[in-house]
Amino acid sequence: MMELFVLVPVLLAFLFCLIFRDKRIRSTGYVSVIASLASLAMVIYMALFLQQGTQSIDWFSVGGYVFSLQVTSAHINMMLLFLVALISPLIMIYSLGFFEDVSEHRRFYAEMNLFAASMMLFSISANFLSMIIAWEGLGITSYLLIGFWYAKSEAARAARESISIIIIGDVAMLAALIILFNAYGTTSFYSISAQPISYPLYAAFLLVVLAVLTKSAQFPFSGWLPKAMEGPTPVSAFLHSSTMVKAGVFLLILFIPVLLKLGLLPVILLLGAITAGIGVLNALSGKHIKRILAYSTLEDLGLMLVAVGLNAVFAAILLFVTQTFYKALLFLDAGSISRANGEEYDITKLRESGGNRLIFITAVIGVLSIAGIFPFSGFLGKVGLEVSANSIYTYIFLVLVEIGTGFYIFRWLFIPMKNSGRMEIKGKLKSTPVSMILPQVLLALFVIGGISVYFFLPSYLGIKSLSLSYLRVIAETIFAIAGTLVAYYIYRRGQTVKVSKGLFVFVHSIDGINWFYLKFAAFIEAISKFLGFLDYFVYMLFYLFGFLSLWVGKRLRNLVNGNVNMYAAWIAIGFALILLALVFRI
Amino acid sequence: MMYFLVMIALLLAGVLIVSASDRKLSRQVGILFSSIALAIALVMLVEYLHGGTVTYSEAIPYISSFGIYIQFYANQFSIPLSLLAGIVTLAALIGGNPMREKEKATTALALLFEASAIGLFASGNLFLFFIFWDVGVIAAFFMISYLGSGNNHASSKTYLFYSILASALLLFGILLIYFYMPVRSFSIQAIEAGSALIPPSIQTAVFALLFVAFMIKMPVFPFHSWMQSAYSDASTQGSMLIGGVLSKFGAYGLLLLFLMLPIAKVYAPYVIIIAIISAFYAAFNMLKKDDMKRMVAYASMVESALILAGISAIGIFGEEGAIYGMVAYGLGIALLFLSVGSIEFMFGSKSTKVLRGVVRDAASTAYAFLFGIFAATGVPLTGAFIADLLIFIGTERSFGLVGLIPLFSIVIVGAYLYYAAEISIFDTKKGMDMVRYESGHWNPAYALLVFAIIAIGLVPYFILGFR
Amino acid sequence: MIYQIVMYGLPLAIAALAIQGFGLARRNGKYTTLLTGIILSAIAVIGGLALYRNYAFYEIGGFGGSPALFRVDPFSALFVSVISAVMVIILLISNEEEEKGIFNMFFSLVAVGALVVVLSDSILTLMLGLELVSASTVLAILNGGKRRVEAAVKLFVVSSIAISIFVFALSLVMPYTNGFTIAPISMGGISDALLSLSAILFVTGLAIDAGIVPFNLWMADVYEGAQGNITALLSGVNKKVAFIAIFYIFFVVLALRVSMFAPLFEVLAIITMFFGNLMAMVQNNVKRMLAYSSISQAGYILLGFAVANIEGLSAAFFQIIAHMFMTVGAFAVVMWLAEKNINEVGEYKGLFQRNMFAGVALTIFMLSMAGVPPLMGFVGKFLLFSSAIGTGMLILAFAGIINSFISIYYYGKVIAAMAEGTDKARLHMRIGLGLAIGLCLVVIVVLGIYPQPLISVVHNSVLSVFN
Repeated sequence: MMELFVLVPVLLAFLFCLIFRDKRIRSTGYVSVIASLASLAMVIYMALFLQQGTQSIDWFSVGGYVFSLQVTSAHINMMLLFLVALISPLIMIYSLGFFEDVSEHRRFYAEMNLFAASMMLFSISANFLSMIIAWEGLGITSYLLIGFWYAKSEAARAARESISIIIIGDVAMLAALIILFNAYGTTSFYSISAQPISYPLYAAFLLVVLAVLTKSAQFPFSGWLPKAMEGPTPVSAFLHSSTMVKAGVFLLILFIPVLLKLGLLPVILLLGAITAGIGVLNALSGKHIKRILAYSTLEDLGLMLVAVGLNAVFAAILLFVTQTFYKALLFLDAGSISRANGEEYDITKLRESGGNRLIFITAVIGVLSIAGIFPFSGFLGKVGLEVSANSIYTYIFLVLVEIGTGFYIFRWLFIPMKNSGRMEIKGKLKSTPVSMILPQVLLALFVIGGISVYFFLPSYLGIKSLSLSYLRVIAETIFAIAGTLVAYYIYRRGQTVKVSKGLFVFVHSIDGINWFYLKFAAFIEAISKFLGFLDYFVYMLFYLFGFLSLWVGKRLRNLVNGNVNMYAAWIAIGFALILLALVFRI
Repeated sequence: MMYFLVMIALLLAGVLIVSASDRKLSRQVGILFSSIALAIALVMLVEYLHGGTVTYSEAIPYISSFGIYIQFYANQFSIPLSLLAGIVTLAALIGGNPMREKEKATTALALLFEASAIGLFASGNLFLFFIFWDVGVIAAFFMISYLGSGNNHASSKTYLFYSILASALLLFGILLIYFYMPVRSFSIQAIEAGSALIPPSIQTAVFALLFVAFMIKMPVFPFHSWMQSAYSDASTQGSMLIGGVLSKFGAYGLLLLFLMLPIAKVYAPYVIIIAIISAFYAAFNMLKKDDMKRMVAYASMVESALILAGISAIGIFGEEGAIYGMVAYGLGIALLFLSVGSIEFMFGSKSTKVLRGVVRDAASTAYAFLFGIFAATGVPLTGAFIADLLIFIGTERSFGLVGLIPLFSIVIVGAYLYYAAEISIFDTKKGMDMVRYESGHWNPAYALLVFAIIAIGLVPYFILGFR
Repeated sequence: MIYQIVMYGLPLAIAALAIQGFGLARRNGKYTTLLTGIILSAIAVIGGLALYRNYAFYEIGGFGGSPALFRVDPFSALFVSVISAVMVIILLISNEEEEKGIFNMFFSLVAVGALVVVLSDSILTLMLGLELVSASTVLAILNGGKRRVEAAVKLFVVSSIAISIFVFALSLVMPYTNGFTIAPISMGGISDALLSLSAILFVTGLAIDAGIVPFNLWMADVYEGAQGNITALLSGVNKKVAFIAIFYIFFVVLALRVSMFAPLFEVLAIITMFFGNLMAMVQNNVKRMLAYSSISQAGYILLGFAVANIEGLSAAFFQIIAHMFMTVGAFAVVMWLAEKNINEVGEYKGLFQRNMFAGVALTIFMLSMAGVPPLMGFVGKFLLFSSAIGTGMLILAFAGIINSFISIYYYGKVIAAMAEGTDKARLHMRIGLGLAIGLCLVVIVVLGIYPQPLISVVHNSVLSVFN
């Protein structure tokens, strides 16, 4: 029960946002910040003092079966909960400054608090029933937040596209829950993990993997994530990089033993690799400051799936934890920079620092981390993966991704830097308030300090650590620096701003997926058209009866022609007919 | 113990008083009577959840030559469904007549319909069931033909034609049951106890007759042609009541049929196939529709198919899921129809081709529509989630993975409703101006429906707590 | 005391009616109508008293040892009362007749004829009563002026044929009756062929008046051509009297061979129902449509005769009473509209707006004819179909139910037209007409909601004659 209290502050803040109608003061924002800090305090208390264990709360019962919500304080769940609770106040504080138009606060904070509550519930849930509540909550809050600026057609469209992908996963997850419940009478993660291989288990986990693919934006459902960048930057930083999209990955990490049993890991490895490839290739040529980061997130998520597919639990967790910090940081930087440049998102038209050295410094820290340069925490994930690679092909793939990452992320940094010296771009830079700088600085500190997770997480979670040889670390850093140097020579030293299209033929691979979607939509439309025709046919079929009756009626009407002789004749005919009938019966 | 009788008598008195009262007062009087009825239903809910026993009201002799009594059941079906009828009618009375035209007729018909719905859901014998059925059908007919708009002349005739076919078949089936029972009786209780002795050929005939009748009313695939035009041309109140409550007449009847006739178990596999076809048929037909009311109509047809799937999965899960579905989907569909009706009132159109940027000037309506989508797609903590869960646990139990197929029709429904929301409601780039300014009088109705949807989504005990 | 009133009052009142009928020929003025009305009401009350006291049986006439001519029993008391009441209502709607005195004369004579038929204890008085009814009706139509001549002549031709066939039929069985008494004839000496021939002739003769296919083709022409109130009379009284005659002949006089004729009635019932409904579907003139609807109602009534047991017969007579009120009420509204030159379905558009009372009343009459609960027509059909199913005549019942479904097509057409919007001026109704329509409405609704008293009364009445 204790775990659920974490949700209370944010839910109260949500209700406050609903009820409190005054738009003039920033009360909703402050209340939300306080609520998220309260949650953080509770999480820290729990992580330190609460025993690991699972509690269930009965929700309802049908026919002797009890449907209960299970929550757990297992350390791996505490880890995710802590990450969420740590990021959430930072984002809330950042948003105070980010949203200049105070009238938007109420709606924004209401949706944000609802999201935070869903994410926290997801973190602590220990059975499918409580998980699915959080899971679908994530879906709809993501929908609402992507479409937050619905005045832009693109935002409304992106929101709809994301929800129409995510709803597939929601339904698949519900179906999985139902199959598991019917097969085992329980939906608890732990008892299901312990089940032997069976047909329902296989069916259910195929559906779970499907749901994960939609929520974590993996191939072939990866299209919605880059578009989701139409949402406000705090949303991108919170939902679409550091927390929500990783919910699926977290679920896979929890179920690695089951997936191993069922032999689904190679599939996950393959899909993850494809997604990572798509992410890197698209990030190489992007111009939208946030969309490059979104493709980078696709890559990160893909790599996490690769780690899961390699059955490398610790590598996956390292990537999972460190990615949270550096990706949130980079998004906040991107938000600050573009805001300072007057809501400009094109990296070829931006100036890097946004008028504040702290923004630049934190951005550099984030970039170094994501590229995987040694002392910054991001390198842990990269090296962990490369250590876990099970074949030479995997290794080569990972190295290529690594080099690509170094290249595109420095491109992301260098092009705006170069712009600062160029003459064409003029205009006063907007100053960035403290409420936005502070979270960035804190996150940069977390990125640097994140290196420590390597040392205490294995014992905290009770999993096997990775042995990292110096050779591996050095090799990894060299690859990262190689990518960086290419970017340096092209974009910092050279004059090139655009990537030559000829060089990167696969850049537009995302279009291929879109083509597939369009064909699928056309197919659905064709079915719909056919059924629409059938619908009309069914409608007419019923009317055929009516027409037939009318036709008979019209023929009969000729009998009644106003001629009384005919009537008398029919009396005689009727009499004769009855007589004949009776005669032949007697 | 006479709650139901009091409720129905009160509502019928309300009909008379509204007909006799001043035109300006009629809406208030209607709301008053409907609220009292809802309050009685709530009292009953609380009482029965406390007592926990299923009871039958006293039998008042009615037509003694056929052994027909006026008798109402207070049980796990009648109480939730009367709450549904009460809530939807109250919401319809508050917000369903934005034009304030023909107020007396509107209010009187709504109260008459509520009385018939409550009577039907609580009736203890099939004769009363039939009477209330037809009263509801006729009341709804006038909501289309007299209060409706658009092409209502033709669509009301289509509706009436289908409905009377349904009641004709229903009457024949009921009479067959009565005369072939070992001891002639209309009482549902007695039929449940003694129907095993009805000869199988007669049972099959009865099943076929009643099944078709209920399919028409739900509506389910080959008998749905009346639906889209009727839902679309009815007044807002009419669409709410027809989509939210009247379609549940059929669903409830079908549930009773499956409980009453043992032979139904034999046909259950065919029924689930019909449910699958109907769900996807409706979902695919929903695409390409630009009339938002038609869109919602097909969404409600999908949900009817889900209820049908739940009923076909004989057993506690299917049964409870079906009841839950009737209440939860009914509320959700009523909310969707109410918001679409309000949009039509304010912007003078209900076509997604014309409507743009509703949220800019009519935020509460826009969010009500959005919440309606959530409720229709079964987002957790709305009632429909538990309905989906229970229904498909039931079907999976009975039919294996095949039973899960209809669940995926929700994807299509959700995707298309979100699409409609995107282009007509949220994309404010080309926002259009209102034709009539919002008076906001439907906000309490939204609040009522949203509250009810969340209440049953959070506390399933309200509906499942009777055993 | 009541015994004396019935014993002496009934014949006296009928005699008074007849005398004043003949005596009024030269008078014009309101008080003739008043007088007729008072006498008819008195007869209705006396009939009601007889029914109330439940006098089993007594005979009138039979002077000097000859067989009795009239008798009073619960059955005849019931119909004396009902027919007089209906006649009073028709008198109310015929307030605007030009030649009042003459009209009242013919009207009184129709009433006398009808009462004679109902009360007759001898086939001869029965025949005379029938002749009086049709002859006076012909004259009453002629009273309407030159444009009514065609209808009058047609009616005259067919009723002459009818009566001559009847006489011929009677002559065949005359030797076997006990001095023409309406009592079962001895089957000793009579051959089957002779019996069958006379039965067919009886059917033919009576079916012409009762409106059974194919002997009824004259009907729509005459109904349309006659004045509105006469149409109501034809449909509400003349036809029903013919059914009572069929009842006396086949279920009393030829009662021992009833099983022989029942299949004949079954076939005729099915044909008549389909004919009436299919013809009504293609009509645009509402009066003509109602004429065909009344033919299909004859089919339903015959359905009860085909069942040929006490349930079927009492159902048929319940339906006869129901239809009397429905049809008189409906024709009253139609007549009133015809006066405003509104005849076609298309012209009924917007009646709800133009006169709410007339619209609602016509709707209720039509719904009642279509068999929608809780109206009297439904109860009648329910009794009829259940009697058929109870006897195992499933096909007959199914035909009836399908027909009651078909009938909604044309009733719905009118109702939907009335519900449409219009901008034409309001219509005003005179008080007498409104009162008459209101009376019919009250009967239809009250006895529809609580039919048990009438069901028992009809059942007991029929039982007193048929056993």
